[in-house]
Amino acid sequence: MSRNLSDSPVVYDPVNRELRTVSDYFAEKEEEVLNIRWEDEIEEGAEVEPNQRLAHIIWDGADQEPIDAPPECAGVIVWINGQIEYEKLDLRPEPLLRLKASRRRTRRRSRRHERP
Amino acid sequence: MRFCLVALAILLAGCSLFSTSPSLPGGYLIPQSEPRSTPISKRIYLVADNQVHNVYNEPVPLLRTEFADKLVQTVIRPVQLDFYGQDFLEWLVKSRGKRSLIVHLGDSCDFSCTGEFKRFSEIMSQAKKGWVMAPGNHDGFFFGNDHRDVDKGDWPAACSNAGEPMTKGRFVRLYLAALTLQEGPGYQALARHLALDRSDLGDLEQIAPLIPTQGNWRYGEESGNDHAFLRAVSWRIDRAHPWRSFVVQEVDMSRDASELPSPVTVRAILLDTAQYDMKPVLFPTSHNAGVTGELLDDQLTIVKSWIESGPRQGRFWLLMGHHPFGSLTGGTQKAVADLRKSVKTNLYVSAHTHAGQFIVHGEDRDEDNWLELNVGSILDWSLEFRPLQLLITDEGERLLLRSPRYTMHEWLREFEGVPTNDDEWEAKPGDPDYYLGHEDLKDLDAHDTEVRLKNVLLAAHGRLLGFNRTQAGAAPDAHFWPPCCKSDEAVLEEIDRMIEDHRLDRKTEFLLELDRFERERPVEDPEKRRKFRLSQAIWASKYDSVHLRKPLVDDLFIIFPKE
Repeated sequence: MSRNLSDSPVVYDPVNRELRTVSDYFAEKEEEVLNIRWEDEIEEGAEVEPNQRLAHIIWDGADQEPIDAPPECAGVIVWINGQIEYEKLDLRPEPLLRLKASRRRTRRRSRRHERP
Repeated sequence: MRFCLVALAILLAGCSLFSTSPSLPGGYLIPQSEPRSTPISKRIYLVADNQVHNVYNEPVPLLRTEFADKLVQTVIRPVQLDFYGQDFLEWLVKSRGKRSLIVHLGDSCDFSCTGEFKRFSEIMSQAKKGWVMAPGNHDGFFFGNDHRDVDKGDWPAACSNAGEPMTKGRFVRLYLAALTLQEGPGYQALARHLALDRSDLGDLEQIAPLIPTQGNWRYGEESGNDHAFLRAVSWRIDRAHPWRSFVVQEVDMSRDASELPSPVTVRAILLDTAQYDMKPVLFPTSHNAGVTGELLDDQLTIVKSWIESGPRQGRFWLLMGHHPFGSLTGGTQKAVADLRKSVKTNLYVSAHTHAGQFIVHGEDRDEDNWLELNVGSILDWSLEFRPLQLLITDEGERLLLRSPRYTMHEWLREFEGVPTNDDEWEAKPGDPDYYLGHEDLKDLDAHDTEVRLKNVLLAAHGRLLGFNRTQAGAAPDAHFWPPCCKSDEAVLEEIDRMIEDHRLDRKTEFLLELDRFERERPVEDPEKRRKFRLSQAIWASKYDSVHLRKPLVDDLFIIFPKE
């Protein structure tokens, strides 16, 4: 059975290499996000891998919710959103970070292309 | 005469004063991206100066004429803004108030009529998480300026068809009644304390007379362990001197849980800066509530006792009030400065100017300089509101204020497609509902001014009905039709007749019928009507800000006429 989009707070867009929030996910909640707290090692220039813990959502209540890198979300971070508009998370997708294509992926693809 | 003009400009400009500001010391940082930090407070939404205005008033000499409007443009707003403008507050309360607490920083009303406050409280009652407010000069003083006769003269004339003049004492009663009607542990504990938690009491007017003339309530242990936003309320109603009445409150902005190793609490005190020793008067301006804010010793003593009774460690305080610090009396400035120092806060939050800004207080380059966050109006351009939350930075454990400034028109454009591009929705020069400017109100006659304004309002109703038809098949004997009419066409014809009728009382009477008709009739497309109303309010506010229909500097597109 396929997962609904709103089962996860974030989605990775491989075309634009962008990790974004899913507005339906936040719209379904009755509380507000106070902030998104990045893990210490998550910074511009760092490399991330699928399933890696990226951040925690700090909800208005007592809960914290982890944000893990979705499948395909791999590469070097070139930009982290430093002005997240938490107030609008329930209304529109918000970009959280952007990757450049990882060197490893690029090499693999290159090798494939070299095959006769 | 020139002196009079200048004096009147100063007194009416209570809502648009600016002051020069010294530098912010180097110890403050203004980062362009969010530092790694931990939230220590909930997010609250700050909103101010919505000024519900009674559009069915009788003429008000001097203060509602071209003469006064030329000096201060909020004296006569476009009628579309008065009629549709509260849709902004309603949108915010419904949209953001379902998740967050709302703190209103005063001037809920315009003339200060009980009917205006009732309308305001109906809107605010939709804030599911709760709301509180700090009183402004329009909440208890006639047109935000002074206390005057409530039985005859301008004040009852202005409040015609909107209840009665709302003195400061009356405001305190109505506001406390509105608090007791809210859900949530703090509000309900207050209601229980006042024995007002009865099921037979569901109306402001019923509850207000039952509010005692003074009280000092604090949310206590017996109230349970629930997190209560409203923590303390103290008030005094002075019947002989209503301007000395006050209501001061303490609210708890703390989070339910914290990731920090030791507990941290965040409290805010909502000061009542519209409490006066001397009766506020129009002249001299130093005693005008629109120009000067004040708070008296009785209020101050209570605030000090609240601060002293709380823990010193791990508590952050915020001070909030309607009037900017710079417009407080000298004595009140000193008192607020002392309070600020005693709670070690470098932030005071205010409103009143209608033009949001940060203000730095202190000497030129003094290390003790501190900050005031002034919140703009949600009614007058640029339709501002702002969330506020406090955090602690990971690096250096410093206090971090996060308070992005948002504007209604940007939110509505992005999320609602408002204002729409429908060319015919917008009033153009030459249309009967085009916005009246100074040039159209060229005399001092308050009666003639109201006749012109009512004609524009009638024409605005015509446009509203023309584009938002009543649901097809509505029975001619349905309850919502005005007595004159049984169809939209008949209503539109009656609107045209009333515009030609020179009798002000007939216009007002019919406008009241139209008001009820508009609230009660079913329309073909409710969503279209909602957007239509918001579009009208945005155009009215925007063009009022520049006195004419013209593009603002940040308008993106302009279509030129065909040759």
